[in-house]
Amino acid sequence: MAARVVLEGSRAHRLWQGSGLLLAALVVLALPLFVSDFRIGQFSLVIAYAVAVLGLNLVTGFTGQVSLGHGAFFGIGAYTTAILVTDHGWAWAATVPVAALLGLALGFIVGVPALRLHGLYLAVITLAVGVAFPVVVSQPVGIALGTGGVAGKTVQIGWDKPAWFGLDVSDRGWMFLVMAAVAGLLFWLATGLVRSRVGRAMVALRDNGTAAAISGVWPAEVKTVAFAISALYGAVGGSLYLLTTPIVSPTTVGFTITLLFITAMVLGGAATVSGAWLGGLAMVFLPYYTAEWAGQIPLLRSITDQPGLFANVIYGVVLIVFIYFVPAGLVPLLTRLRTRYLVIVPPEAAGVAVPPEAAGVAVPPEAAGVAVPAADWASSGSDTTPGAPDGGLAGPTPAIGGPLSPVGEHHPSDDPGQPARGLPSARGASQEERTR
Amino acid sequence: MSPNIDNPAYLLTLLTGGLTNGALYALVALAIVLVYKTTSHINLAQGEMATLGAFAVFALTRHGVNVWLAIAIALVLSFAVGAGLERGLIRPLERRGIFPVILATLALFLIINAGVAIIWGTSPVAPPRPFPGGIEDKVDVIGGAPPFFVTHVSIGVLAVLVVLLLGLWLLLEKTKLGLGYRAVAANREAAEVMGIPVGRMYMFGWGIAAALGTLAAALVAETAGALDFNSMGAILIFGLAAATLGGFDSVPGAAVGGLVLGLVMAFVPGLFTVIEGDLSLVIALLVVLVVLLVRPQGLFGTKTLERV
Repeated sequence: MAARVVLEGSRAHRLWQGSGLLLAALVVLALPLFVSDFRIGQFSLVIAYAVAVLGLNLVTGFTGQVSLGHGAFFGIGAYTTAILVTDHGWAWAATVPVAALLGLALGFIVGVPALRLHGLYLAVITLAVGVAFPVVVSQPVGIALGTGGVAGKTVQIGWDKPAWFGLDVSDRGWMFLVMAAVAGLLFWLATGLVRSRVGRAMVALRDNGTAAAISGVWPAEVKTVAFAISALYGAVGGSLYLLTTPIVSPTTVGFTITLLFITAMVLGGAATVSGAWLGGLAMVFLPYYTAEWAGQIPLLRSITDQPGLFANVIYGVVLIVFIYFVPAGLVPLLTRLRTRYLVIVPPEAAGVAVPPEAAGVAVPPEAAGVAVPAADWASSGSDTTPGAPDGGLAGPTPAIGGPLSPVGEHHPSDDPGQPARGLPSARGASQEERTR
Repeated sequence: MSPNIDNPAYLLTLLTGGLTNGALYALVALAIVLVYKTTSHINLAQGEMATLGAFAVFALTRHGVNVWLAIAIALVLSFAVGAGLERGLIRPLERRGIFPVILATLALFLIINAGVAIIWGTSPVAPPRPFPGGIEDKVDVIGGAPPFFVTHVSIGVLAVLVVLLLGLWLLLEKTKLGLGYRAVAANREAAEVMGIPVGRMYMFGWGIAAALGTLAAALVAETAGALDFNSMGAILIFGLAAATLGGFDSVPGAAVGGLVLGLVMAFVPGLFTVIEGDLSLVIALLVVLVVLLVRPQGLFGTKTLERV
């Protein structure tokens, strides 16, 4: 079957996008109607994790800054919400902005050393933050703040489904829908961010810091902002987590969860937004089914009383397999698969291939002025950034979109892959963004 | 300020405690440095590999092997595993830059950490004791209250560090193998052109580091009196902090960094009683931060120049 070619921004493309979004929304709405509360709890956890993983994608996948302390960001959000709800009687929704702001502040502080350090040194410092956080929480300093020490902090958040909500869902299901709405908003914002001027600067910094700086990107600003936003997502993820689990303890936010976030990021695709969903799904269902499977095999059951440990082994193996064989993650793989049936072409590329008038689209002048070789979109989806220092691990240009992406499909080569092309026209392109 | 500030016995106790812990951090830091010098990578699974080695010692002694023989066997095994991992897992990723290698070591971390917990359980085990660790096994120096004494464990740990440093120095400075290792550390391309088997030197660095780590973990278990699958989690951070302090590419720096860090972490909470609880990780974090921001190459490291 020949691939159908769709012009980006055209009516056909919008139709595809719209139907994708609609499908995603329908799936989310249908879940609490047809699935048991236990499963809904699992999917709620997927949402919480996906939001946190997205934060990691932004700073590591898009900006190229190694962050090994994401568990701390997740933790600060979870603990903020837990303390405010349990000790001060706040409503959950009111704690989220506080958690987000504290996360933002912590991320900013962690981002400051990133100005002078990169690579391994940054890894060391973020690692130290990630490992120190659960310790601080369990010490007298933390207990004075109300963290509950080693035992953890219990939280009871229960909502009743409001009367105006027509669908016949359980209270659990209602919470799931609220979480989905929050996550949808955050994913939408992240998609906008990576396509914006800041997002382009982030990717430029990742691909070639010096070239980006010469082109007018201020590394200090972009790095700290990336860390701060990453931490904000991590913290909100932590807040969302408390809607699914009534307790947060130092072991919840320890180094292990950081490692799982990192694995989830690589699995979905580090330089993608929608990859975070796949990462979240893996974080919930992989240990669940591993534990179940290990519990059924007598040999494995006899070795340990904690079958959940096998999941960590599998995570490690998955991580190695992905680094070796699927370094860009699953989403770019799916995008490439999709291009066998549907190719989405950015207008500027179409300016070379097809006359824009013939396709019936108004092409913004500044976009049409940029000449892009036709081959650039022909390889759609596998569009690797030239000279990406990570050799493709976070390398391929961000491919936003995928089965569950709130904004639907989006073509990678529209994104800031090549600093030389993307940056000088950054302002023009962001205007184009607004006019769409 | 602590009320014991002018008590010599108290201060000396802090000193020996700090030096003992510092020696352990120095061992881990040495392992990190030996890997970093040639390959420019940090093995974040160093601590977990070390735990695995310590559990190997534990398993061997449980089957009736003499402690020192068990440690020797575990060291040889660790060397082989470390060298093998470098060749099999890390080398193929090396061309692709720092991040894939970090991820690979994190994957190792996950696998070994969970693997150890699966095989030996999550509750602590009584570790094999190379040095007598009873309450009476000490040398009294100052009597009275509080007394000052040095435990045999402290003496043993410090002696191991000194012997090790001497051995490493001999190995690196006086043997052909050490010459090759230093050549690769100094300039990879030039060493390759001169016919030094660079890959084998990487494996050598990883192997020695893994063996050192195993020794460190065995001693950590000895001083702590317990060994579990998370034993080396915090120690890795202290080792990283010590390596940062001394300089990531300096062998003497790692030793000095470890000892200084041990002393800082003994004296700061020991003298300033305002600090409640065990905030040693936070102190380590602050040390790392200050060093990296003020003098990123550490005390003894070489400053790297980047060409753009």
